[in-house]
Amino acid sequence: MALKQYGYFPGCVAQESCKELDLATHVVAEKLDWELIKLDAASCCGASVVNDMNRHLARMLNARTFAEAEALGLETVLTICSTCTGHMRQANHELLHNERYMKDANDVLARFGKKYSGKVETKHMAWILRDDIGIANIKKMVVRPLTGMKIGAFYGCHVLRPEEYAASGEDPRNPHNMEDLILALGAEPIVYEGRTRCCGFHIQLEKEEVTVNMVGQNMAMARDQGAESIVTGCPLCHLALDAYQTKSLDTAFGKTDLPVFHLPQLIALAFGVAPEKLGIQKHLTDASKVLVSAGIA
Amino acid sequence: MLVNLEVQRFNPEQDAAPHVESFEVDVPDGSTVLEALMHIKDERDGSLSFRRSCRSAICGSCTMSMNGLDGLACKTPIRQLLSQFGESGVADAKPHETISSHAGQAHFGAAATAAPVAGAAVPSSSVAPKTTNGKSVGTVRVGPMHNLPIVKDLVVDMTRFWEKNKSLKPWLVPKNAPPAREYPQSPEEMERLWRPANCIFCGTCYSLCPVVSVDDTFVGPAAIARVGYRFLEDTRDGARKERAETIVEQNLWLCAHCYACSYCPKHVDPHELIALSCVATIEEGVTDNTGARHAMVVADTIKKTGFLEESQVIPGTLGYFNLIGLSSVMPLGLRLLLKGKMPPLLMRPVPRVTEIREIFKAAEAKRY
Repeated sequence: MALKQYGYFPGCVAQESCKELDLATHVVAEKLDWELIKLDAASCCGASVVNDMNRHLARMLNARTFAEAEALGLETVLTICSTCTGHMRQANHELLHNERYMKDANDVLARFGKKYSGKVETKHMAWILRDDIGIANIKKMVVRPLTGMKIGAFYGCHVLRPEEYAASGEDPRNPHNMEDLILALGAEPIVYEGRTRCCGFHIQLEKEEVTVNMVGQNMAMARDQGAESIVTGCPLCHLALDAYQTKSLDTAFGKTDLPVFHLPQLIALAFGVAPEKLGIQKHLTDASKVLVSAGIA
Repeated sequence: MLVNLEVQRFNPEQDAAPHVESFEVDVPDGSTVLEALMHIKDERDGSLSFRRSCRSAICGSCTMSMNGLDGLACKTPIRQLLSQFGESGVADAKPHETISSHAGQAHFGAAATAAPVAGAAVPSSSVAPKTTNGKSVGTVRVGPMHNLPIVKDLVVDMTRFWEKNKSLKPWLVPKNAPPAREYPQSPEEMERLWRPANCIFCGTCYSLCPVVSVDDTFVGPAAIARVGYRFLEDTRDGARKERAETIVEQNLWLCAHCYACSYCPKHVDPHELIALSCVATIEEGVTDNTGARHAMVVADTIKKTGFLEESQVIPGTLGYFNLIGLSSVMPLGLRLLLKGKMPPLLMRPVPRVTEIREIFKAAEAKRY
C-alpha cells in the first residue's frame, strides 16, 4: 500500500514535448512511495488560451476533470505544471463561488451521468512536497547532495497570480517553496527578481521577439545574481527558457546559457538517479557542464 | 516607528543617472509609504518630487514602485511591505509574517467604496508593533513607476500611457440618434461596465506589465480594460466591429497571460477584461490574426482529442500556408526533433472524448 495517493494530472505538455517531465515525476513518486492515479480521461485545463474564446468552456472542462477525480474517491489532484495548476484552481474557484456556474457545469455533466460536488483541490507537486512530505524529510532522503550547484528558481506566473486562487500559502511576491527545496537538495538557491516574472511562453507565436526578450531579461537577472542553472515547476516556462536562451544573444540582455531543469529532475538527481534516466539530455540548453562540475555526470 | 526609506532620486538638470538616497524617518506606526514621503518632503528635503493628491486611493496619482513592486503609495502601509519582504526591503525567498494586500477587502464592487485608510489593511493582531528603541524597523525601497521615462525623482512622463488610452477611442459612438430622454441600461448591462468603471488610470498595471517592458507597441492592460473592453461591452455603442479591429491593431493579443495586472489596487483585474475583449473580437469576426487563430485552434484540438495538440497548434496558429512564418519556426522544430522532444503528430483521443464535445456544445450556447 502506497504511503500517499493522488489524482495525477500531467497536463498536455508533459505528455507531448516534455515527456521527460512525466518520466522524472514517476521516478520521484516511486522514491516517495506515492501512488499516482492518472486521470486519463481528463482534458486539457484550457491553458489560459481557452478563456480568450469562451469563458464557460475551461470551467466546464475542468469540472469534468474534477468529477473524474471524485468518482475515483480522490480529493487532491497533483499537477506538475504551473499553468495547469493556476487554471484548474481558477475554474474551481469560480465553480465554488458562483452557484450558477456550478449548476451550469453539473447540468452538462449530468448528460453523461457525472457530478462534481466541489471537493477536489488541485495542488502543484512543489506544494505537496512541502505540505505532505516536509522539506526536512526530503532533505533526509538526499543521497547525492547537489553541492556547489547555484540554482535559480523560476516559479511560473500561474502558481503565483491572481492570489485569490493561485495561492500557494506563501506571499506571491516573495515565495520560498522552491528555494527551500533547492537548499534541502544541497544546492545553493539564488534569489533574483525574475523568478516571479513571466517567461513569455504564451505569446511566442504572436511575436517571438517579445518572448525572446522576456526570456533574456529574466535569465540575465538570474545570471547577474550568480545562478548557473534554473529549476522550474512549469513545462511551458521550461520550453521558453530552454529554447529561447540561444536567441536572447540578440537582445540587450546578452548571452545566457543556464540549463533549465524540471523540478522532479532536480529532486531525482539528489536522490541518486542518473541524469540520462531523467531525460536531461533532451534539453536544448546543455546541462552537462553544470552536472560534471557538481560531480553528477 | 523609525523606518529607513531608500528613495531613488534623479534630477535631469544635475544627475547623469538615477541614484539612491536614504532617509531614516520617524513616522507613526501604521503610516503608509506616501505619509513617509510627505514627512521627508515637509521636514527633510523639500526638493523630493512625487505626485499625490487625494491620499485615499481614488485619484490614482501616487503610483510608484515599492520594494520593486508597483502600487499606490497611499494604499500601501509600511508594515505591509515589511511583512512581505522582511527588514531588508529585498525579496529574499524567506517567510515573513504574510498579510495579503487584499486581506479584509471584498473582491470587487465593495472595493470602490471602501478604500482602506492608512494602516487599516494591517490588523494589529497579525503584526505586533515593535518598539524601535532608536532602531529602524526595516528598509523600504521606493522608486518611480516602470515602463515610463522619469521626469524627476518619482515623477514619470505619462504621455505614452495616455496616448495608448486615446488610441482605443475613449468615447461613446452612439448607435442611433440620441433618445428623447436618457439611454436606459439594465442592471445586467450596468454590471458588465461596473468593473472597468472602477479604474482610476493609476497605471499600476501598465507599470507592472512585462510585455510593455520589452515592447512599446503593446497597448497595455489599462487601456484594454478601461477603454477597449468598456466600450466593446457598452450596448449603447454602435462601433463594436471597428473597435474590435482597432484593439487588435493595437496588439491586444500580445497579452502574455501573466496576470501581473491582478495586483490592481482597485480590483479591476484587467487580465480578465483582456480575455473578455479577446472573446469580443472573435465574436465580431476579427479572426484573421495570429491571436484569434491560436485561441480557436487550441480549442479545436481539445474538442477533437481532449489534448492541446502542440503539433497542430503551431501551423494552425501561423496558418498552414504561411510559408515565411512556418519556415521561421523550422530551425527550432528541427532542434527539438534532433533532441527527441518533438511532440507527437497525432494524439490518441482521451477516453470518452464525446463527453468533451458535449461540453463544447453547452459552452458555445452560452455567452455570459
